[in-house]
Amino acid sequence: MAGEKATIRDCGFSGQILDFVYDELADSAKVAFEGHLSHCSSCTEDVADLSASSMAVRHWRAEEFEPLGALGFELPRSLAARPSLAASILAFFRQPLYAATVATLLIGAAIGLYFLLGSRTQSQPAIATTNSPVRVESQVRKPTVPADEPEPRVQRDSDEQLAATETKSPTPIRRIRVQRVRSARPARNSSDPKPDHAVASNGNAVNVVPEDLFGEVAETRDRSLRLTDLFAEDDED
Amino acid sequence: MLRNLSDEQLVELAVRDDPDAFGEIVRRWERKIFALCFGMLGREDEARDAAQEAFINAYRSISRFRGDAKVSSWLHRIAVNQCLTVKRRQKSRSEEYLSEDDEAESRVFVASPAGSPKNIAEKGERLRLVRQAVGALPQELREVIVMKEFEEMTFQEIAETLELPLSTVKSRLYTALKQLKMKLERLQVEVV
Repeated sequence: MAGEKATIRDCGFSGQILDFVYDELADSAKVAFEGHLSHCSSCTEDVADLSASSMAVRHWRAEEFEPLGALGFELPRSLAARPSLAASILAFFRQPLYAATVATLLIGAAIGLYFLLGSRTQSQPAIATTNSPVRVESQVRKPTVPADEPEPRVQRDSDEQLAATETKSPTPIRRIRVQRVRSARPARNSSDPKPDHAVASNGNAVNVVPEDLFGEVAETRDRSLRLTDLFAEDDED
Repeated sequence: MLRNLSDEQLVELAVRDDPDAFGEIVRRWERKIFALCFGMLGREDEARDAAQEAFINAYRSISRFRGDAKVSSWLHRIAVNQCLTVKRRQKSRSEEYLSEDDEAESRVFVASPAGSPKNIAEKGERLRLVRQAVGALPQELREVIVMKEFEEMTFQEIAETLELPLSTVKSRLYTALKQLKMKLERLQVEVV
């Protein structure tokens, strides 16, 4: 090939030979080149050689390629088939914009759900049952009695009601006197393992006094109400 | 709607598994790619197979198209590579039976009694010679001459497609046409 390698002679117009053969010269340049050909034998020879080769290839194309029909390409079914769901999802997340959008929506939905559930829990009224005393902070801390009313008397004895409680319990218990909780008492930590029920003097667990026993339900459920305190106060009395 | 989109937009859609977008790309380029394969291989059946295979390869690798080059350049490159693969297969196949090179083989074929020039129409014979001469050109020269003559691309388009300087494209085409002229003369002398 090295021996056959042709080089473009430099006569000032050699760079335009191919443009002339393929008719890619501007009109003015074409006229100038045709004027040059009349007195440059090397360029004339080149134009003749290149045109002959070009015409030969063009003839081949016209005779054998032009009559051929369209390629009629059809994508094979195996390739054109819709991808599986997993592949579609993966392809979707390959687009960074989509992935970022979905991630933002998911985070937003998670935050919204968190706050929604949180507000529901706070607004849900506590179910007051004697068997499962639930401590509700808002009930404990907020005074349920208007300030102008006389302070209710928490320390009450209702023999009939206590008797009824005792009859329900299989174990005889000692009468318990419950005093009003002192407001200055700090709230106990919720993780405090101390039980929610009172302990009778005989060591048996006793449920917190039924709520209908007292007018102030919230105060009777206060975990800070401990019998040791009550007895201590009794002793002082 | 797809007809109004650019090649790059169609590729973007095809990447998202839209077969119609890829179908539009094929519709736009199939004739040129087919012509390129025909010029590179010289036979219709092989050119059809190579063009089909080139489009299938393009579809398979479309997700890797980065958009650095033009879609036409990308398709041309895939098609040329496919043609070279076919050529290599042909060569290795023929080497199993014949140890002669392509040119010697063509001479034997032209001079064989069954294909006697006296019995073959002059037109058909000349076409065969041209096909053989183009096929005997080095790949980079054949590529340029086929793009110019079969695809009718301008020098600038060829330069952009092959990502070569314009001067290199012209130089290659000049050399290709010159070599082709010499090969044709040599073959014709032998035939005569």
